[in-house]
Amino acid sequence: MANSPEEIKKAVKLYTYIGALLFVFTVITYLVATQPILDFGGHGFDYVDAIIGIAIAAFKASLVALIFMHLNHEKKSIYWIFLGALFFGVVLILLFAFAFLDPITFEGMMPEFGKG
Amino acid sequence: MEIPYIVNPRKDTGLNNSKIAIWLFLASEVMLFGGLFSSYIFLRIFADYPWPERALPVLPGLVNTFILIASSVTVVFAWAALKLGNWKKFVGYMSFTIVCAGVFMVFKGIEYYHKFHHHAVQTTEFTTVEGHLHKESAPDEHGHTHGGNLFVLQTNEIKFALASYYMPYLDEILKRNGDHEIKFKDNYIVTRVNGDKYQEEIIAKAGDVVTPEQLKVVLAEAKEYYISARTHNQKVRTEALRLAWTKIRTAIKSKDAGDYNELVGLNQYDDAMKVAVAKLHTKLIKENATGILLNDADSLVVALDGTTIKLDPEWGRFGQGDPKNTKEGTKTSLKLKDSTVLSGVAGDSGIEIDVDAIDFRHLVMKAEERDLDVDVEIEKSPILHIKGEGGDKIRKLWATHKVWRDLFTAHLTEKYGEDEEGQPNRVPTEVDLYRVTWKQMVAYERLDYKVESWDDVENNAPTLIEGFSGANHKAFPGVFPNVIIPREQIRFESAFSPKMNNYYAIYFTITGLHGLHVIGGALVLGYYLFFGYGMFKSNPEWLANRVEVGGLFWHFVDLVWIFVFPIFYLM
Repeated sequence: MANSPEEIKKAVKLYTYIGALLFVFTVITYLVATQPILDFGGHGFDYVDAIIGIAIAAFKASLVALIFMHLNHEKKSIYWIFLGALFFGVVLILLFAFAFLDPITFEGMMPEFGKG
Repeated sequence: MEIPYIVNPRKDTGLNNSKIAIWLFLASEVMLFGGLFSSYIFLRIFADYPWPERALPVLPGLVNTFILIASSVTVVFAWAALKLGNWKKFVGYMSFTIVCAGVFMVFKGIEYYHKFHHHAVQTTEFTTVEGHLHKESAPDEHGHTHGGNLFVLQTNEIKFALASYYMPYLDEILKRNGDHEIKFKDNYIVTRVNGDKYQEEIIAKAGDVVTPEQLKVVLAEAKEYYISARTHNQKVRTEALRLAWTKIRTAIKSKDAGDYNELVGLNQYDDAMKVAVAKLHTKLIKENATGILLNDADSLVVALDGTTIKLDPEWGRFGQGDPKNTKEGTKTSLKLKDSTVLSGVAGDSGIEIDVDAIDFRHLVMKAEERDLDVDVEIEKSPILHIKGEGGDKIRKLWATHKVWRDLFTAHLTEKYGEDEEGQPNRVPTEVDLYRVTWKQMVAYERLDYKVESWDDVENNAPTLIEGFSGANHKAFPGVFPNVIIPREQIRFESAFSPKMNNYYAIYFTITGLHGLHVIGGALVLGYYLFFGYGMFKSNPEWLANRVEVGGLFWHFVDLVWIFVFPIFYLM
């Protein structure tokens, strides 16, 4: 992490660029969701829009985490804490996959699970 | 007291303690919000109603995203200023950050305010109309206004559910009944239990006139008897059941099981065994019938002489399903939440609403489930058969919308072509097809209900600013049809509050929790700003560390919003 005055001045410049980048990507997210010309996939919201939206959000979030939160040069212990949490967070988010084990709701829709 | 490793790193972790602590905290926060987003996915995948896709006005969310990003940048600037020993710059950047937090909460507040003052009414046929409740009635004695939304019932009869009647409801009904006569409609007979002796007694005699006070006493008494009769009967039944099991078990154990020979070798979980026990149990109860209180009637009925009673619609709902009850102004019944049933003649108690959206998606979904013709079902919707000016306008709007959606469907096919099988590459969404939005209503009005091209609507719709917080009734007076929807046709009514549906429940949970984080973060950062100068003079490194740690939390708040914005506002 930056500690000397020169390094900090350099870092401030980087923060400005990253801030601008975050603004730009927010506008992109908005345009992709609202402008027909940038509507990927089918007309209206569908899984393609979901993937694009989440991908942009994930990119923005990683910029914030890496640069603003200094994760780009942090000590190992922080990585362990953060990655551990991230792992469990992702596991929580993916828990919905268990719902597909329900043979009544998904009979025939999910052949590899549904026959259980 | 000297706190160790506040500024200097510990040898084993290589970090100061505050940093480890904040990261541990953020780790738990990641999992908290992860769990909430997981429940969002669950709710969305398994929603049994059309998900309110892209339903929120985007501008407040977008502006708030910019605000949070800007504040995230300034909070690192503030930290850098401290590292360089520049107090003035720190104050500037930190103040900006806190102002950002304030502005963020103001926009959030505007958004919430409009949600809580916007209503949706769903008819029994699953048509939804949204809008503003028209009348703000004078406040009642509790200071509540009901916004043209009260049950009015000329009550002839009240049936109290003894186990569950709720005193405040009863008080309210009695108060509104005033001096009108209250009469018991049926006898309420109880049986006194005295050792092995049972003695019948009438505590409420049909035709007896009572005062409200007497009624309350009798109700309390009847409730007590009802509960003791139930407890007693339960005991007797349990004993009979126990006896039945014992008899059958003993019979099976004996060398010749007699009537129960066929049960030998079975265990207590087998159906044949259960059937045999149930049979014997019933027989035993009959044999010992003297031990049972059979008259445990669970309700007490009183007759009124047709008092008009107005009640809060939150208290219950009008009876449905009975063909006699389908029309307003005929005999109907009102079931309160405590299972008290009021019968009588419904008064003019429909919900008066200025409609700013008409949504047939739920109706379409139900029709498709039953394999019915969607367009025929829509035409049957009561919303399209309301009499009067408002009803005419709704019919006009829907007719215009059908013209527009055909033009739009044709436009999509023309622009994006068809695949090899002749299916269009792009088709309109359910929202395009079956929902008339407030922006479309404004456009149709401006076009005098004559749509000639698909982009007529887009070109005449209100601007983003005009629609900042959703349907704008002030800027477009007279556009939104005013109708009264009879109470019997209403399946559900709610403001856009968490009670509305799972979407709004999870929306308020996640954005509300995020809002609390914004307030908390602003308080901590504000503390450094307003009370940090002393520490800046004595130990600037320590203050810089504190601001860094506070800043880490602030970035996390921004990070959560980066996901909230697309997921709730754009998907």
